[in-house]
Amino acid sequence: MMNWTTDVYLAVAKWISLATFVGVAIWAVFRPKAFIFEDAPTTRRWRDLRIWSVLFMIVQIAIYLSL
Amino acid sequence: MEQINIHGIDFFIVIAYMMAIPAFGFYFKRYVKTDQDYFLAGRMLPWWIISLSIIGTNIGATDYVGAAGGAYRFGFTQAHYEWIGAIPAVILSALLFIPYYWKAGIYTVPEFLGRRYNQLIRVVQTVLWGAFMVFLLGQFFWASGLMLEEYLGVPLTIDIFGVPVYIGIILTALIIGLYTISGGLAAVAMTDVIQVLVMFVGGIMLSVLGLWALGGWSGLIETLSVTHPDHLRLYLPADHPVYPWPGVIFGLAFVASPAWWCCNQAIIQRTLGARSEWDAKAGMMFSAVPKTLIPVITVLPGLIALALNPNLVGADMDKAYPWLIKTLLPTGLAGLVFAAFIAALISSVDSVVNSAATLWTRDLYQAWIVKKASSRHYLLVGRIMTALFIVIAIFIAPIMTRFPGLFVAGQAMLSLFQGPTFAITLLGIYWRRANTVGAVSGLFGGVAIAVFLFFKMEISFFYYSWWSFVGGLIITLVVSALTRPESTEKLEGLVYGLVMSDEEIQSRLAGRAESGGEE
Repeated sequence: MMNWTTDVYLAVAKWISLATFVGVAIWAVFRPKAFIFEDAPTTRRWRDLRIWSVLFMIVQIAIYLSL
Repeated sequence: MEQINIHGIDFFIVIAYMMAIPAFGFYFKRYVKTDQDYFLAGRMLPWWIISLSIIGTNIGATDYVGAAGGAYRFGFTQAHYEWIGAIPAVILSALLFIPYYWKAGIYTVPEFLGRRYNQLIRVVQTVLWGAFMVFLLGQFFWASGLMLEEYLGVPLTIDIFGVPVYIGIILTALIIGLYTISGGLAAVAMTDVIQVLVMFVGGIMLSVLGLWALGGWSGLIETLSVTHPDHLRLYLPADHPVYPWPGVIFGLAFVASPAWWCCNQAIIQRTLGARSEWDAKAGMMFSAVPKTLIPVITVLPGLIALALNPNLVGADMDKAYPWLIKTLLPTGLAGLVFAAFIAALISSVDSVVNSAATLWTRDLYQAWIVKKASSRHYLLVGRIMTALFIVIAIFIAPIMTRFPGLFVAGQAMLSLFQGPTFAITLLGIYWRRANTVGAVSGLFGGVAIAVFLFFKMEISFFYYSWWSFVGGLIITLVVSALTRPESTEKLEGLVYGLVMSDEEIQSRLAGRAESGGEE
């Protein structure tokens, strides 16, 4: 069923992974601010979950590039 | 393999820890007055407790042994479970699913699906997750019996009037039962915080000592690059029998992982107990921090064991972690690492027990048997259910011996239904046109595809998830498009574009919940 994938270069796996991380980060950045801070007691920067999303994806990118 | 003798100060540390945790958890009994206090910790949990509790729930003692054994066999690829097989899904769960669950004011994920579609899906989901949780508890309890026998010398069984009695398993059940039955989610979450800290302290210590023995990180890499260069690769070829890269990406990262982090009651329940929507989202989001570090305490020890002793073969490869403890740790530290083992085990078992009881109390008992009763009545039923699941798990545990690999067996079972469950949940939230007929068809069709693949084709279990998800998604899309849509009134508050936060909608949802999902 997935036999054709044996002909695909292994490096493609890493590129798909990196594209996934970048895609999730971009998607998170475009979440509306009001949605992110809904119910939050303050709107201080550390509570902005979009920033954390990007940060966590950068860490993943670094890991997958280094291994 | 020789037995690891824990004695003296190590023994004292382990015993003290095993007594302290239930005592600490039992303290939270005083805060439990209603069923909401019991199942959702009174909706008072801050984000940082949720984060740590999620990790405590997610990482069990079998993960230590299984992941270290997997790393010993296959290398770094084992870490995908904690990285691409978790972190993107954590973010999706935090920003895509949890806000809808939170706004719906539900107790369980099947309850959400019951409101979105119908009660059949709710019951099917409850039974499926309940069965999986019992299976999981059996695994955990069996592992606890083996651990107590291996490290503390507690006999696995003793014979009483010709009946084998599983001492280690019953001991674990007593420890967990004491505070889980009495304190509910609050006790579980608070003890999880302590347990995760102990897990990391003990686990990191073992990895540091292992790296020290090899001359540091560079020593590990140099050794493995000579003896096992393939173990340093993150991705393995597409024809690999266990971790083919397409399976890892499409099956694990794109389906199994989002299904686990977005639809698993044991994970989601902590966020439903949050004190605010932001805490619910942040609790899930920040669990990415410890999750990213998990390979340091699970995968890395497997690689260290391989570098130090490449001669473990067959089933002994799964004992790479215990071998490392026995080889590296001096008196005093072995007790702490074993306490970390116990912490990982207990923090997963208590969460699964609590969630299973929540599911069956809320989605079966309250929805079908006694629909209108006092909060205290459902609190009592919840406690009885918790005790019942613990007792069932004690009896199920010995059956687990029939499965050769604990870790793989659990994952394979989950793969059968998580793909279609994720498909109908995703469409349920983000496609207004998805309807009950489509979802029922998609769920059963997807599970049928998974079962067919399971019995007819020898492929990596990641592919069950992927193809059952694709099948479930397509069937739901097609059948929904060919049948009548749901009324807008039914979808209010549950679907993208129809979520409202005004009091009228919320009170309507609350009314729907009280009537067991029927308006």
